[in-house]
Amino acid sequence: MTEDPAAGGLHSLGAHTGQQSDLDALIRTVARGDERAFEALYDQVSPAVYGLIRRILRDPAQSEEVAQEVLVEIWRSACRFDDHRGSALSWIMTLTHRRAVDRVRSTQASSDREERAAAAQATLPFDQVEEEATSRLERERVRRCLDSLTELQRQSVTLAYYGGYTYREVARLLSASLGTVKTRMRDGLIRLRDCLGVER
Amino acid sequence: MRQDLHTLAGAYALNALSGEDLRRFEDHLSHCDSCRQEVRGLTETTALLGTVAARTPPADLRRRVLEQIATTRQLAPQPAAEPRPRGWWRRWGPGIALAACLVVILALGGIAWDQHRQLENYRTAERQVAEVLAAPDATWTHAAPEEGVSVTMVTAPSQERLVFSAHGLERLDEEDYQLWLTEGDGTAHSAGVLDVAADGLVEPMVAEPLTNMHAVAVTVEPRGGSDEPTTEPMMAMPIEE
Repeated sequence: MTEDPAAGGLHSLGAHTGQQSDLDALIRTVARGDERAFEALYDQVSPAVYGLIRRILRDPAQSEEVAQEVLVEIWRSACRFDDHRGSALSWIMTLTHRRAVDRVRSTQASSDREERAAAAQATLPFDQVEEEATSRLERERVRRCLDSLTELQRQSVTLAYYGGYTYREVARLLSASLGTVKTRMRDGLIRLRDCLGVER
Repeated sequence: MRQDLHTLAGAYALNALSGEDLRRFEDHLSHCDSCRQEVRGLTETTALLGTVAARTPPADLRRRVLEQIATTRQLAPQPAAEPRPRGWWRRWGPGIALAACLVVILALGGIAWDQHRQLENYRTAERQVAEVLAAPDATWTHAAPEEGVSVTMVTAPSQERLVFSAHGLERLDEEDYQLWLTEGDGTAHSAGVLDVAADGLVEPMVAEPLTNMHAVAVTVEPRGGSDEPTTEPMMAMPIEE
């Protein structure tokens, strides 16, 4: 990565950068009750946490509420992070995604479904992102890799991830069979993984 | 069927499985190394999808989060020997993973000899308890889930029963502690509410049957207990096969 680290935020949290292990180390310090370390962690990850929740929930007030819950949960359960199971970033984003999806599945009416579906499939996440929160390079890289998927792979992945739909719902939305959708999700993610050079 | 399940790795990494689909896949995952490996790589990938949605949070959020963590107690670390992950924890919602931080397991021996003695004494009083304690395959497990609280569990697969006892629990005014046996899929079977004496000692309780049960858990429930758990377990212990 060649971005300027002084720009702050998340720009170089890509899975193969040195920042990654820095975040792992930071969270271990947080687990020992270090509030200063948590502030540093907050500054690094809060744009990603808030952004993903906002992307899924769309409502600013709800998003802020869930983001607060997630960030406090990171503090509370930092001891739970286990680097044998994955990176700190992936631990944090998984926690974030689960919380956002729990909220969307429990509160959003089905009448809202079409609107959510349309929003999830739009390429908006990249355009909406504020410049300082994530680097253009990183976003371009992910966009390019998403573009390399087949249409059905891309739709399956984005509906599930940004829309918070279960794979059964995705199948209904796309009028595809369950078998097709689950295969497309896996193939799509494998292709993304290889395109992004994610370490395994 | 294996192959069929394996292809759900993508949906799982996207957090797009729920209910029975989730349970079956996690069950599969628990004994499939290559699946865990794949899920790990795919989850790193979805994390990147998450980070590109980043946007600057409201400025006020930072202050509120920092204020809240200043008064939020952190969970205690888990012991080094972590029990094999079981499918059941997810069914009860994301909070249970955090509750599990509190769970300190397998502090075998040494911790709770007073309970050991109490249980020994109890032999004469309660036949079922005595049978479990006297079973040739009886296994004693001690744990200290919180400071001041100790738990003893004696399992006897040959008797299809276990005995649960605890010391140091705070008596609750409006609620009861309820003991559960949980299956691999998260289904919880009540083993009754704990009878906590004024000195914090819990009368030994018998829970059965053990077949297909993966763990013992205690939750706080409305007085008299619930049909199924309504709160996250305050403690949980795997039942060793």
